[in-house]
Amino acid sequence: MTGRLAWRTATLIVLVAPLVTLVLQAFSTRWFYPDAWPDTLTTSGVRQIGFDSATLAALRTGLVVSGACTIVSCAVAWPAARVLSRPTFAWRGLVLLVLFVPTIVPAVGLAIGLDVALLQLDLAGGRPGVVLAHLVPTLPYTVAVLSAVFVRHDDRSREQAAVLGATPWQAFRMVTLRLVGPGLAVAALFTFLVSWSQYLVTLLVGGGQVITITVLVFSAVAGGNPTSIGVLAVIAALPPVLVLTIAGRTVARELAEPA
Amino acid sequence: MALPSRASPTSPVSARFDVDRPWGRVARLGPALIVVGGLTGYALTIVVRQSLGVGLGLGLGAGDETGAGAGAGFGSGFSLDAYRRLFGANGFWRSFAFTLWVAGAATTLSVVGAVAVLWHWTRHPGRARRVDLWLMQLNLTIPHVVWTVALLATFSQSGWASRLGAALGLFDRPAEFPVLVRDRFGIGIVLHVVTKELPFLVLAVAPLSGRRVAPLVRTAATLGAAPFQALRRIFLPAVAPALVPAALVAFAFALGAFEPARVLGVTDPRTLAVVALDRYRDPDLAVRADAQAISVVLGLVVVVVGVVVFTATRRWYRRGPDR
Repeated sequence: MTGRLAWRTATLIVLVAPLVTLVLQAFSTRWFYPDAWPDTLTTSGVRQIGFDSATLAALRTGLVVSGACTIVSCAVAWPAARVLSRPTFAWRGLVLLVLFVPTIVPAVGLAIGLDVALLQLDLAGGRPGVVLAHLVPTLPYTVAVLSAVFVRHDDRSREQAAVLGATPWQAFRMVTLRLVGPGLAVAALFTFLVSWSQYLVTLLVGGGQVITITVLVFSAVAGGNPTSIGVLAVIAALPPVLVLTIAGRTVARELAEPA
Repeated sequence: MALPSRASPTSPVSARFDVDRPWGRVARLGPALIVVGGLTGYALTIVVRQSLGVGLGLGLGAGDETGAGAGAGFGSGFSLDAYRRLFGANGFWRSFAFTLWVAGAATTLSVVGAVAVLWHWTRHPGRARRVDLWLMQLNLTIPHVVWTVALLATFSQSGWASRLGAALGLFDRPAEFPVLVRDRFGIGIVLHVVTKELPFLVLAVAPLSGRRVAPLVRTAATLGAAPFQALRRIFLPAVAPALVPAALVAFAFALGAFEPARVLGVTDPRTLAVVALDRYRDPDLAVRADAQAISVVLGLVVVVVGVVVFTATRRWYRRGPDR
């Protein structure tokens, strides 16, 4: 019993308290040491910084970049995942190894390398280049989640629909998408999260032209104003947390091992 | 009435590009492999070449007014200057040791912690696990930048933890609170990596340990295995195939992580990730080669650790249960 209490306390301090601190900072303007709680809670910081044109622009940029990255990543990963999920495919290990190389390259080296590569390809400095660069860290996860989904999804149901006279488009829309839909949503969610949290790649490849909310949080740290740091950090954390709250149960189900 | 033949297995073109035929597979895997393999390969090639002094002007084309002239003909000769400079500098080995310490300590703590959590869940199934799982999923969704800022606000000397301590009468001044972030020993960076990677490892291994391994452990217990025996001979070998690659990903992350190292670290010693970025953004092109050399060193560390870990795991498997 004491063990459980200690565990619960530890998780609260380490996993929850930091997030609460940010929220408190966001909703206070003068919270001085040694007050354990802000004197007054106010929305003035949120109203000023949260609805600042730079913040809104960065939020929009982040949503556009990560949204585009999610769509492209899913579109590219879908066919690849179908092949990888086939039991007769002999090169599965090798292909997965190649796809997972970016996850074991130290982030700083990968970001620098991608920056020079995209500069060389004349793609750096704009949103398309940043989306392309984000695909490198996101695609491994998209492919992994989707192929786990396809392993469980029986391709024969599509063939049955075809035998019953469905056109390929009908079979896709009415059978495959219904079966794979939740898994696809989870893959999209993961992709979005990985893309949304990219800082270094966005900063370097974007070359100061593509300011996402994640980049803005980091520059606020240098500014040192606790309220603006709090507000921006909460805004940056909001979309992922919202998505997880809505889709949490589907995530748990879709990521479970095939029985 | 639609005919079955419309469903295409008989049409020659779509038959050739069927998911189970070679060309169908190439066409389906191609885009993903080109984007990830091609772009990563290209990026890594450039990093290695530039670290050897080749093509340092790359990317400084027409668009860059400041670097265009300097970039065009710069650094065409192969040389080991960057490595010589790097290894000769005293600061490098300090940063190297510091980086290895931070990444090693953080990965070890994350793996041990994740195994402890998973082992506990295996032995006591269905105990308040939903809350823990949800908290870990929540943690996973928080961007690293946000988490770093949150840790700074909570555990700095005048942070929330210190204030709560003051309210309880534990401290009178911020200086009395232990230096947990922006400390010389990298505790703050380790704290960031452990709090992000431990949940990652648990979530990566939990599906496997929950469904497949738990019954094996129960069987072992029924057959009279002591808890430690079941842990060593059943649980660890069974989760290793998922745990070991995930741990390598965590280690690589810890080695190259920039945000926590910059925000939660001090200026001396700095981790190699911070040094590399500073050198990369230096206006002097020759210094750029240093950044690339550091990236290569970090990459080699991952390769060496990866080979050692995978070989050790394989041997451990081959040797089988010792008597």
